[in-house]
Amino acid sequence: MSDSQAIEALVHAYLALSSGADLGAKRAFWDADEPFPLLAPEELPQALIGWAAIDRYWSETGALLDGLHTELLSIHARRLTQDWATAIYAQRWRASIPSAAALLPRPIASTVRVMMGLRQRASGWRICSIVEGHVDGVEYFRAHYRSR
Amino acid sequence: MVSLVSASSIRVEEPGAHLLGLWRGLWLGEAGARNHCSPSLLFSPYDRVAILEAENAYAHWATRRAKGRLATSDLRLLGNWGPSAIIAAQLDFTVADAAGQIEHRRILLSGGFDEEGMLAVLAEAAPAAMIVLNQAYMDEAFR
Repeated sequence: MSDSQAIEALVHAYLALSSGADLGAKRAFWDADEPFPLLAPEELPQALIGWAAIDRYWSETGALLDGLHTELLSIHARRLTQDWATAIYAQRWRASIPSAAALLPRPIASTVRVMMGLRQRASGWRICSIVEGHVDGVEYFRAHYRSR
Repeated sequence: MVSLVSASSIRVEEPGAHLLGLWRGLWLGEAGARNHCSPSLLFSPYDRVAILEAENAYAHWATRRAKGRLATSDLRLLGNWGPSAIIAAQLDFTVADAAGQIEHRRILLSGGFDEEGMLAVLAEAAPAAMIVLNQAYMDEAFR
């Protein structure tokens, strides 16, 4: 299996965890020995740095969302050095927020671009950073207009 | 202002400055910046969906230059790994349009450098909770 195939398989498996309520299971895909992991979720103005902040985010997000499903739309993985690689991909998520049912009676969804940083360990590729970014509003509406 | 440094002189304590120097150089159209980018440079502009191959990415920078002049830029390093193969940073910058209007933007900037110190991957992301929520509404509504 090539590096690209291995990383793509990892991302597929990682995103598949979104379908379950236990978002903390995602931690097993990260480099446990990384002292400064970074996760920048699309909806937060600041990046989360460190295990405590990331674990808290996963726990709170898991409790907030219902029926979260995430699919991988495209991916481009590249080895940078002997031990480091990046993956750039797009993901589409769909979920409900039961606690906000009055405001959001239907599921919500969005498409997000992601850059993932990975380190190669003896056990395989492990995540050290994820930065998510949504699409600019104007481009977003143009894309929907073209697709109709 | 951060100046470009040669790939051979990258110092691990300055990965953010190096990334900012390249980012500014690409925006300003400096040949030195382009010479520090891998031919397979990927680019995910904050205002486009597509991931662009190198030549399209350079063309995008030219379009960006035509729309506005980069005025100021201030980068805060969030993390670097490898120790500087992968870099994540918060970047505040201002752009002046032809009429002199100044617009402030904040993005998350991620860069990936290869063994030669060449910038191989560059990704920009603009987090904005309200926009995300609005889009999340519309994404489902359009289906």
